[in-house]
Amino acid sequence: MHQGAQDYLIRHQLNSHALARAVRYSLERHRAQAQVVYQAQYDQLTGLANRSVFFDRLNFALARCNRTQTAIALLFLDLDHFKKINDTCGHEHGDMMLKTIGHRLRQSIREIDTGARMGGDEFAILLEHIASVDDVKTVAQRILEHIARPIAVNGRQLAVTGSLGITIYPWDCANAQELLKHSDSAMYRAKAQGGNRYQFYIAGLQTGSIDVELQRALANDELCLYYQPQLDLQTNTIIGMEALLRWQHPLQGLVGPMHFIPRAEENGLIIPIGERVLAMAARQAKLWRQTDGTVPPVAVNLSVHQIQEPSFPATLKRVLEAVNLPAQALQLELTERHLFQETNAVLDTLRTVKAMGCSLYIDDFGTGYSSLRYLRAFPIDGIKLDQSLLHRVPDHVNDATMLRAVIALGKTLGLHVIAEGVARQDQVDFLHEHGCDAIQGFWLSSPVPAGETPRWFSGDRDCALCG
Amino acid sequence: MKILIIDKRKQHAELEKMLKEGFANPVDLYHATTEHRAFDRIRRETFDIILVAVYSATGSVLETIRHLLQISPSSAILVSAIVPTIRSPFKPCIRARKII
Repeated sequence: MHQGAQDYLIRHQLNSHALARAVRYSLERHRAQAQVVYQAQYDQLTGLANRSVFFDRLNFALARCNRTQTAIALLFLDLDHFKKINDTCGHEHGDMMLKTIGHRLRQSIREIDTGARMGGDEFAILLEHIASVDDVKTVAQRILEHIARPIAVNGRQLAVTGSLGITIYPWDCANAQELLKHSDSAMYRAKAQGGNRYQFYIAGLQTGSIDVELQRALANDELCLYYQPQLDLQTNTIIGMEALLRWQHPLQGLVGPMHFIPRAEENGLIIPIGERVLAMAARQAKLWRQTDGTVPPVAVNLSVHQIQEPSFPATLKRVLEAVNLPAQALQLELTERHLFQETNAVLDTLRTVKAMGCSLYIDDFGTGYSSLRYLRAFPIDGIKLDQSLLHRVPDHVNDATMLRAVIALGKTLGLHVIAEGVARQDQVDFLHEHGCDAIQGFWLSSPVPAGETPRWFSGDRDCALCG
Repeated sequence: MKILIIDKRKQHAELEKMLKEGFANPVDLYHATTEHRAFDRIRRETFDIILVAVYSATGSVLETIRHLLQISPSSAILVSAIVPTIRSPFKPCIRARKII
């Protein structure tokens, strides 16, 4: 009986009456045991697994995932404004709705998946052996649609919607508790956007997973470039296009560089990423030249880690030769704070690059040490004024004076001066009045994919803006 | 009610007779003379009660019960002990020995 038998019989004492009684007793005892087990593992109202069973299965699924190199998705569902139904219709109606939703949830997932009620109007769903993110999206959408169907409760038609937060292991490298927390936070984002939708957890910003994700991004060509034009204030023509890196993440959508470049600089992936960016920009510059004739140079941001590599000039040469593009077609930008770490080797690299024909600019000028030494020591063609210098211009007298002085300094040294982050007409007027050569910013255009830029090369700014 | 009797010594007839007599309503009785045949059958069908006839108090009985629980968790398990000599701490058998 210690091993699980319900009862035992001793043959010498057996008769038909005792045997029948023992059978009945065994059945009743077994049913009672099963009932206790059921109550300990399942939610009484919905019949779904409870929190304890869910975590048990989740932990088991995680272990299996690690062994089989498969993925699982954890969905956290919260009903939108369910409290109102309890308050206005009563808890009895609310419970009936929860029961129906539990039933619909079960119908929306496969038998191998687990649906659980975590408490109140919160549910969790564990999808195992997922083949693609699209599959998860399909299930999530199906769940939301099933839930949103009206529910008949005591002759009344009630409706409720749900918000789903989703996280996927192993992309989201976390333990069971953390996965639930992450899906919960994603659910709150879905709610914040109005509910009746799903949102994926943004896991890419965690150090542990971003390394793996960035490698995958490189392998899967998830990195892409957006382009923002630079306008010459004298001629009113587009004189350059800055290539801005974006990550088309399969779950999170478009991710800006500030979310992954700092980590890439730490883990060394900045080198292959930088090379990829150069190659993409060169390819696009070549394409524009083939379709639009002579087009302005494409500006590419470099990391100091790239120019610290002695092989950088060779890499650049290889990239240019691969698409048969003259070096003049690329404008390389280095941030001021990176130049602070300058060495003789870096200077040599920059001189080599300059000799090849690329133009060099100091980016974000005004945010670092703004040392005049940079302007003298480096073989640069121009400076790009950081947008922070423009924020309070022209209204703030001191800021306006400083900006005027910086522009004058650049011009006096014979440098091309481009103002970044220009967002307003009064800023444009101020910069034009005080001799700034060119501008870049939302006033002109937000960064756009290459496919949306052709009309900028017509030479007409108005046409460019309407494009 | 469906009952499966596992009896290696093929002495299930006695138990079947008593079961038929003990219940007013008809009982579906099945028997298997080896554990493997029993397991095969259990995988295909569901039984309310699995009655295991035990003739020796070896560890294999415990293994049998464990396995039955795994493959047929919805069945109640009843052990029928017919054990003349006992060496293990298998409780029904000890009890039987005392009675004997």
